[in-house]
Amino acid sequence: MFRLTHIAVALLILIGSPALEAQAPTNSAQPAAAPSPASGIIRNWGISLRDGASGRVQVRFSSSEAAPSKAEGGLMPAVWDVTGLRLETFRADESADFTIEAPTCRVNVTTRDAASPGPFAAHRDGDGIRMTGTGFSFDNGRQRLVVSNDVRIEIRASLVKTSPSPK
Amino acid sequence: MIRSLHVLRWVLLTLLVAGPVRAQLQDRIQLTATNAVLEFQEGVYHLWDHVRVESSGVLTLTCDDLRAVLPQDKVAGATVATGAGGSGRLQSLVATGHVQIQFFQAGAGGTTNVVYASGDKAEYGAADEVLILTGNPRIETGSGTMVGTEALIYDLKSRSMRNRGPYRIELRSDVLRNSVLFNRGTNAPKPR
Repeated sequence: MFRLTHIAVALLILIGSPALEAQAPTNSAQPAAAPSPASGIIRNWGISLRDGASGRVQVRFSSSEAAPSKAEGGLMPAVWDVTGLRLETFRADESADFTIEAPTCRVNVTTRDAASPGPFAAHRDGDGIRMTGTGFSFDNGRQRLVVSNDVRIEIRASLVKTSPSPK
Repeated sequence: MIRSLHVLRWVLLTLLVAGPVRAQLQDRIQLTATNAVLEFQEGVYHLWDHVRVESSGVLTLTCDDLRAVLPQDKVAGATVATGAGGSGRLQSLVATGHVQIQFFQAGAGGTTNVVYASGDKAEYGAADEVLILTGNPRIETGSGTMVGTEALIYDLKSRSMRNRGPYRIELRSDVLRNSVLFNRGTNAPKPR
């Protein structure tokens, strides 16, 4: 009963966010959040954000822990400091595209951007692209990932393999 | 006896593990740089500062700036990067600034021939599978150097070179040492 109350409070917080109302977010695919009222920390949360026009799932944020950024005030802060981030982007047909994981990160649920000065790893299962680096910024509006240090990208050789030479 | 069996088992295990690891390394291309921007929708990978592309046993490329476009598909009016079900090929690659490329080719008797290419710009297009070097282009092989004023074109399919505009070939002197070209018999009177 106590846990159910916590779940309800978490859902109310997420639905009550002005940034999310217009976008009709769902968090049905993720475990419900369990907030700690004293510190404002949300644990094991996840949120899927949809494109306003098409309604398709565009990006999904989830993490083991999130706390409102100290710089933010208000009832529902837009900026959260997140631990154990998992950010998934989706294609137009809603199949999974890139997955970005970072131990620590700052997420803006209004703009749906994420950034961290620390290490991160990303991968795309479809074509086996893997990536690591230090310091990143994900711009959801432009679907762009900026990496500021030590970029390492691995792609399958078949992606650039030439056709067999004529005999 | 038991000790030698342990050693044998260790050697076999090493061989079993090393094979797939080597195959996996050869199957992957590594791109490293200081900075990068990835445009997910357009499938554009832009890397700059100390860019290095390494395909084990095939080529190594270094440059200042690299822009690669990976295959794209159109789904429901939106552009998405193609996965395994797509054409699975790099569309184009443009390397600029101090471009240096090493191609590794299997030679006779199990040797490896290395072809060095350099220029200010290298462009690769998947459609014709050629690498076009411009800006003081230069290609060095074991037998000599080809220096082009406009562009040197390396065909990755046929592994042949051609040029655009005037060019110069510098052959190593030892290449012609045993050539019949300079050691032919003549009908000139023999010195007495």
